Amino acid sequence: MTASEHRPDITVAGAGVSGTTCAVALSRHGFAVTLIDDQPDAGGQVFRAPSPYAREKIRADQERKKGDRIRKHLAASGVDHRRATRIWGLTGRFELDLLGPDGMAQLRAERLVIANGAVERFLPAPGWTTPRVIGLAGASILLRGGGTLPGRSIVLAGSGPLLFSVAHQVLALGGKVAAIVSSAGLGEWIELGTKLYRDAGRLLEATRWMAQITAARIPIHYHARISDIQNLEDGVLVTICPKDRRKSSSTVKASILAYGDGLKPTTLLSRAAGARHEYDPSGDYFKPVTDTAGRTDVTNLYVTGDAAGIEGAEASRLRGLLTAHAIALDTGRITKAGFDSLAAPALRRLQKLAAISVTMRRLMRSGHDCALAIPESTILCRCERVMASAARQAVAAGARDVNQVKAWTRCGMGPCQGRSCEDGLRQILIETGGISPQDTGIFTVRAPFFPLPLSAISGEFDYDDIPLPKAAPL
Amino acid sequence: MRLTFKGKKLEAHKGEPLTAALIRAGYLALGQSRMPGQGQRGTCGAFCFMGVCQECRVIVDGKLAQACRTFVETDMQVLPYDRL
Repeated sequence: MTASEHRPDITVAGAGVSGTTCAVALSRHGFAVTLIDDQPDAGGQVFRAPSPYAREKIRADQERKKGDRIRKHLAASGVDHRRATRIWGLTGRFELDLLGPDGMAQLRAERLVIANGAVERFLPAPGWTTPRVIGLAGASILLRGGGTLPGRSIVLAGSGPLLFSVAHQVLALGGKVAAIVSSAGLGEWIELGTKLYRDAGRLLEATRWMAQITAARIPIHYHARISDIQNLEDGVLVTICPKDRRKSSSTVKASILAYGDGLKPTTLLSRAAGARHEYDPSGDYFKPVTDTAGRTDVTNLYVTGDAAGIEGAEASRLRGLLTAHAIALDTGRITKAGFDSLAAPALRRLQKLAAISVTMRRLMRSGHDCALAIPESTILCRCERVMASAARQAVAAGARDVNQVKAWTRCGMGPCQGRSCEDGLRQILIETGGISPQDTGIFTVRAPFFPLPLSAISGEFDYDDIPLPKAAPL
Repeated sequence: MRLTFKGKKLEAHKGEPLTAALIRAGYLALGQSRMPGQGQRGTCGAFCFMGVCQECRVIVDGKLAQACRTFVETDMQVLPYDRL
C-alpha cells in the first residue's frame, strides 16, 4: 500500500454536476482542489459521458451538451481530477482510502466536500431477480451512456420522472416501449406539469417527451404497480395491478422490464464522515442535515447536490456553486458582502426551482404504499436471497430497525452491502411493524464500502519473487 | 473490434461499457446467482449499471471486474464469475 498523501485545501468526492461545478468554482477562488470520481470521465449519472459508440448512435441532446460543457470547464481548470477512483474507506478525520487505476492510495483531506449524488430505490416485486429485470436509472445509463437498447421491447415501471425520460431514450434508439406503469396517478403528473413553467428548459423537454410518447401510442397505466414478473424463454410476462383493488389486473409481454422507485441521497460517505442525518418526509429518505450552502454539523465537512437531498440536476449545479462560495467565505477568501453578491442569483433560482423539487419528490415516493402487497415468497435481499416472509417474521418477533433485521436474517449482508434491499426492508418495517420511518434507521456503514479484489490489496507479484529465507540449520 | 464471452466471439466497440457490448450480443445472464437457496437456481446479470449491485461481476482477462465499470479493449477475454 502506498504511503498516505496529505492534500492541502479541498477534496471533492464525486464528479457529477454538483461536485464538478463546486470543484471548478473552488479552483477559481484560488484553492488547490482534488476531485475524486468513480467514473473515467466527469458527469455523474445525469451528465454521464457517452461512449464513442453512443455518440454515433444518438443525436446530442441537452444533457450531453451540458455534460460536455462541464467536462470542458473541468479540463481547463487547475483541478486535480482523479479518474476511475473509488473511495472505499473514510474516517472522521477525513482519511480517504482509494482504489484507482494505479492501485491503492490513501489521502488525508483538509476540507471535504461530499457530492456523491443519488441512488435508485427499489421495492421488491415477485420475479425481480431475473436478468431480464433491470433498474430504471440503470436502463438510462445503458441507453444514454452505452447507446444500447436493453431489449427489443421494454416495460417501464415505478415512480418519478425517469419513467418518461427513459421512454424517450428508448424511442430515440428505435426501441419499443410496451407499457409505462406509473405508481402515481395522472393528477400528480399534471400537478408537476403546472409547476414546470418555473423551468422553461425542462418544460420544453417534458412537452417533447410527452408528444413522442403519445405519437408512439404507448399504453400508460396510472396509479398502478407490478404484482408479478414471470421469466419466459425470450422475455418477461409482467402483471400490472391497479392500486384501486376494484379494477382488474392485466398482463403485458416484453423483452425487458426496467423499474425503480425514485431516487434517494447516497449517504454512505456523509455518514462515514460523522455528519448528523435525519429522516426527510418530503422525500421519504434519510439525508445529512445541511444548510443551503451544504455546511454540516462537522467542521470542514460539506455535502452538496443531490447527496444532501434530491432536487434535480439544475439545482445540483447551483448548490455546487453555493458550496464553493460558502467555503471561500468560511476560509476568509471573500467577505460576507462578497458572498452575498455571488450567491444571490443562485439562491433566487433555487427558490424558483423548489416548487418543482417538492412535486418531483412526491412523485418519486408514490410507490411506497405498496409494501403490504409484497407477497411472502418474494425475494427481498437479492444477494443473500432473503424472502419478504423472513423479514416480516423478524419484525413480528420484535426486530425494530433495519440493522436488527439484518442481524437476524442476513438481509443486507451480501456483496451490495444492503444497497438494493434497504428501502424494501424499511417499508416492511413501517407497514408490518408500525415503526416510524425515522426509527427504522439505516444499515451501518463499514469499510470497505465495496468488495475489494484481494489483488488490489496484495498487489501484483509472482510466487518466484517472494524471497524465501534459507531454513535454519538443525 | 473483438472480444470473447465464454470463448465465443462478439462484436464490440473500443471504450464502450462491457455491459453494453454483452447485452447487444444477447448476453443478459452473466453468471449464476450467488445464493440460489430455496431450490432456486437462477442466473444474474447487470441490474443497476452503476457499480452498486455487484451482480454483473465477471472475470476479464483473468481478473475479477464489474462489467458495468469495465470499458472494452481489444481482445478482452470475458468469463462468468462462477467459472473460477
